[in-house]
Amino acid sequence: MPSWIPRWNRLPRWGKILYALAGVAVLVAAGVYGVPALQKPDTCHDGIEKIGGECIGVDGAGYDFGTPEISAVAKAISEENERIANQPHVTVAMMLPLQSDTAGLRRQMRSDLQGAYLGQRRANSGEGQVPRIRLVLANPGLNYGHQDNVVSTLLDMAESDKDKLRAVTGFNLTLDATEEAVERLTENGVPVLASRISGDGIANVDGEKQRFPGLARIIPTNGNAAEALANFNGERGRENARTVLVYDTRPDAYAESLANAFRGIKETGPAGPADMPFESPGIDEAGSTGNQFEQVANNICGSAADTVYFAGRTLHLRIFALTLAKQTCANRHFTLVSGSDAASLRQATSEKDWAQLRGEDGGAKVTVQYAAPAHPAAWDTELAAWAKQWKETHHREPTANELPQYLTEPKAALDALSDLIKSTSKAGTDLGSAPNLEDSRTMLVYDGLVTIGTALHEVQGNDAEQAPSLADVRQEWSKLQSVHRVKGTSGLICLTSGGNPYDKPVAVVELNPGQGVRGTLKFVGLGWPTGKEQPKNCVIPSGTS
Amino acid sequence: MYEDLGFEKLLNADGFFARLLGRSPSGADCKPLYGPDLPVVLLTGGPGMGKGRLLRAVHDRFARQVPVIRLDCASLVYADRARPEPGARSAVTEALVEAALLLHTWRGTGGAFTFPRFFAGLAVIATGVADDTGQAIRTEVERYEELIQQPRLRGLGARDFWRGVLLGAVRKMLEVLAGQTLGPYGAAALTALLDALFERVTPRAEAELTRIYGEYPGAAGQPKHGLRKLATDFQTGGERRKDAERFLFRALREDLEAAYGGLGGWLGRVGRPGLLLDHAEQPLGERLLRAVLTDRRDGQRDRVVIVGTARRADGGDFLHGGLPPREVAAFRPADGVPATWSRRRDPEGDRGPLSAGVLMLRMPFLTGDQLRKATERIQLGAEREDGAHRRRITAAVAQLSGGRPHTVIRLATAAADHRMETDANDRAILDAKLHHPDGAPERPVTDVLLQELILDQLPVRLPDEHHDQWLDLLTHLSVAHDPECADVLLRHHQAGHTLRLTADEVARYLNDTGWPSCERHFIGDFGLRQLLVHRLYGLSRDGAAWYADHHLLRDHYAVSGRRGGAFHSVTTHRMNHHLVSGGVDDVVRHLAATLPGRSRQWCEELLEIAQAPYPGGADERRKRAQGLVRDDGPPLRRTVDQLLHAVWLCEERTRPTGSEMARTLEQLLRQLSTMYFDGAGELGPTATEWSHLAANEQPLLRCDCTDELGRRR
Repeated sequence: MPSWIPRWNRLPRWGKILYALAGVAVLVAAGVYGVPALQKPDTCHDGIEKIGGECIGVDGAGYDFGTPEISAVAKAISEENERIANQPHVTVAMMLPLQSDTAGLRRQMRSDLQGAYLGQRRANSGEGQVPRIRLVLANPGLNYGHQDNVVSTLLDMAESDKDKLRAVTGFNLTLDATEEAVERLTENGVPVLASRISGDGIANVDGEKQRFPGLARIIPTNGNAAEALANFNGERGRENARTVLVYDTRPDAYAESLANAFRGIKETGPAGPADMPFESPGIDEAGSTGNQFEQVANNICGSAADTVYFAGRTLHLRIFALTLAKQTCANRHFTLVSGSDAASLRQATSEKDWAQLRGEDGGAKVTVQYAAPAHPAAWDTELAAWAKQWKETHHREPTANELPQYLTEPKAALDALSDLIKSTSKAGTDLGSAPNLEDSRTMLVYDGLVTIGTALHEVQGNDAEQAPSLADVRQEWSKLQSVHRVKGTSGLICLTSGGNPYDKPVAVVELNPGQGVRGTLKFVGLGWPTGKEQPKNCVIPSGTS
Repeated sequence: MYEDLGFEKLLNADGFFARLLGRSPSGADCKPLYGPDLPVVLLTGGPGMGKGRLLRAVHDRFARQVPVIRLDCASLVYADRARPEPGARSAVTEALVEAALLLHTWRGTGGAFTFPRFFAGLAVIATGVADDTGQAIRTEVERYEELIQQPRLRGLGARDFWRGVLLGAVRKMLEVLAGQTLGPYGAAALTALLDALFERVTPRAEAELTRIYGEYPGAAGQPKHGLRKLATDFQTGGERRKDAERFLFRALREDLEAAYGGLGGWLGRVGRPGLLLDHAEQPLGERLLRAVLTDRRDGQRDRVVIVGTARRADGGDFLHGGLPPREVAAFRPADGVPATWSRRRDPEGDRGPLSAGVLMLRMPFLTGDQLRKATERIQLGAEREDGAHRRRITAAVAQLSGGRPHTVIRLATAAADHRMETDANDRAILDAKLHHPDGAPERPVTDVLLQELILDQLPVRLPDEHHDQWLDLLTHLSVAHDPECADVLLRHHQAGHTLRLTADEVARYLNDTGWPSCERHFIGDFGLRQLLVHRLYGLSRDGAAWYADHHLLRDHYAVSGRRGGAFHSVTTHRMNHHLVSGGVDDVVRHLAATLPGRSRQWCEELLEIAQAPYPGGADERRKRAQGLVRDDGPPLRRTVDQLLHAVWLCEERTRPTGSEMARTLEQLLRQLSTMYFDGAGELGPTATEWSHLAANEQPLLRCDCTDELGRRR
């Protein structure tokens, strides 16, 4: 102890009292300020916990979770929230990971949120249509690692009269953690609308006991998509000797369901090469997949197969495509068929990669074909094709009424979205970038919000101040069909009793190296899971649900 | 360097003084010992026991932590200061003012003390100045004004209700006094002063003055009367002045008590204030001790730790009120500090002896271990000598000092570079020269010690006319055994003096000074006796003075019909003096003749005769004891001669004897026991007994003064 600090037992009483008082004051101060400070979790922002370097929590006031790409759109959402703050409103949460070290993923997040914002605007635009939607962003962390915290917060918000959370949407990845989150939310009666989940595991099976009561989905499951692809490719895609399945053995709900769907395609003819497995270390980790693909590609070269069903994530699909393109047998043309995750392929592929995928003659060595859940060119292309065929049989232009509803209504919805984008841009609202509809994210999230808005407006009673209950919303999903079908930009959305979209078309797209710098993504047609178009007015036939 | 020699336990953080003062030397809290009725602690011990050294050490160690002040009651400065104004000052008041001023300048925890109560008393006695003009009184009062001035940085203990008020009253009072030009004053001035004082004081201050001075004998609760009576008593002198002084001392302690009381004192003051009175056996000290003991006996309580000194083991006559000394609470440091102290209940109640309120701390002799360490430490500084020589010196220092710390330090310092033969007499180191550290010329250590132990500490009551011859008288008395011996010597050496000291007076003075007699020696302390014997031998050439004194006594006891005094018989007494003054052969003859038929009695006589110092010069005793000196007499005489020398050597105790002499003793006695005379066989058991005592360095003939010895090993 330094000599200038007198020792306790040398002090006169006033010194001891002073010391004691100071000690008590320090203790009290420590109690008042220190203990809460210690107990208080580390935060990134008001209400946002910092866990392991990630900012986990729910926010609707414009916080960007440390991701600059989404700052503008988060701000736009908070402004919209403020705008409707004084009107009767309920809260809808947009749950998806909002932080990443990968720039590509961060741009995808922005696309998702742009869709959410536009959907919110659309749902809130009806004159006198209440309740309005207050949109909050919920970040469950990388790979939904901290979904537990976020779900707890959301459940509290659902019970709170102030927040009145009535639906949770988002969910862009089919993962076990996603499944847990959806399960816990639905178990607790919170309606969930999964806008971009394709895994078969996160879906209710129509006609059976609902595993996720109150879950609605708006894109086909992988199984349905695979069916649609097989239907689209016709005989070529079903010829056993010319097809081979390459699948990821890593536990991944998406890859597993896709593999199962591909295996489920009824094939004909002599047996082809056996299924070829590989194992990846993670969704966006390459690991030793390059070496594994080398052998797989070799084997495929040695076979007669030219259609490869690939059940894996985008990153591995890209590596596989590049490996296949390098093979000596690459003078053959391969078609790689994959699932919805491949929608991100174009963004992830560099110019050098494209060059590799091109043959010396400029022709494509490898074409990637996949079932995108939506494509902006789908409706115009299909309508043109339909009209052309009509003209060939009827020798006249079809009237507006004669045009097929399953094409015209989505087209109108898409046109409306385009108009909204334009008007938003004109109004000077910064969304971080001009929304790009091509990768389908914006369209699907937008459709999700529109679906939720429709359900909310349907269940709103006469008393505008009385918000619909969670049960109202939950039960409303299965009523959104027929007359109450939702005209989505990705197609008509008519939900079955299990909350699944009935016969939702997939946009079959081909990714061609082409002559362009970044390859071309070409819409080649619509695939229908049932093998035929949605019925008139999207009335779900009995027996389906 | 040797300031705390022997006092380590008393002075350490958990020692007696730390607990008495409620604070350790480092300033740490200590649970205070005793209280609220505190004993007056008296350090008792003769000269050279370190009483003053201990008080200095206490002051040095504790004065930074607690308000401890030290007054030297032997100092003449108080009496000198009082002399110009005998009617308004006394040595006691001057000492008290000095104490108050020292406490007023205290700058430790709690800050300075002020003395308004004490000041009020001082102010009234100031009216007794010789030149009783207003100006003279004013000047006298102004001497004390500082005592009530608040220090610049006021401690928390300062009492507001005095502040300014008393000072204002004093100023007013001084103005009044200065304005009066007509004499005579005395009572008039006193009245004016009291009026001025009581006109201005606050009710609370007045209540305080009433509490203290209202209790003055005859005041009847009126502080004005009390103060007036205090002033007149002081001027009257005698016993009444003592009462006045007692009250002033009490007022001073009340001021200290007040500083510790109240919220301010409780918060800011630590420990207990202490007043250390060195040389308290002097009249000034005795008056101060008497004052505080009387007050406390009467029920007054304060927390001032009073520590005084006393040379006498019973503390001094004033403690006993003329009655035989009663048992007084006392302790030796080695036995541990008594955990509790309570006032002795006397049948006389509050008229009982003052000793009831005293706790005596017996000054410790150095233990053998402390003594050896101290001696060796001192010797380390000197030239390197071989181990055996150092041990010889250490043994001599131990024997001659008897553990008296001052003597140990002086002897060890002087002997450090003194050459000493292994077989030499311990007294040989008394010839050593002492280099004085401050450059004074070197002097024989005997002279230094006698100066310090005797001349510097003369008995308080010794009349002045005897001061000059006191040391010489004591020197001659060193050969005396009992008062009768002493009287013979005193008569002889005071022949021609008008005023003579008797043996009884000398014994009393010696006792007062801390040098009591023992049963067989007039100068009871072994070490002092050796110093004086040494001086006596060297007083005139070839020890003439020594021989003269012994011859005087021998001749005195040659006259039949006298009593033996400290001896069994007058013959034995005579033989003792004869033995050391050249009559060895006569003594041997006498012994040989008286042995047959009375062995047991003879042995006792032999021990008495042979308990004597050996005169200076060549010592042949060892050789003669061992039969190495040719003697042609009959066997009985030869053996008795040998035995006498062996016993003499063993009994002197200033020369190494050990097992060799023990064997010789046994051999000689056994030899005698086999001879043909009546009762020879009775000497057998004596042979065993004496040889055992000698082998263990025990005295053959026990005496009070030998109890402190036996530290040779």
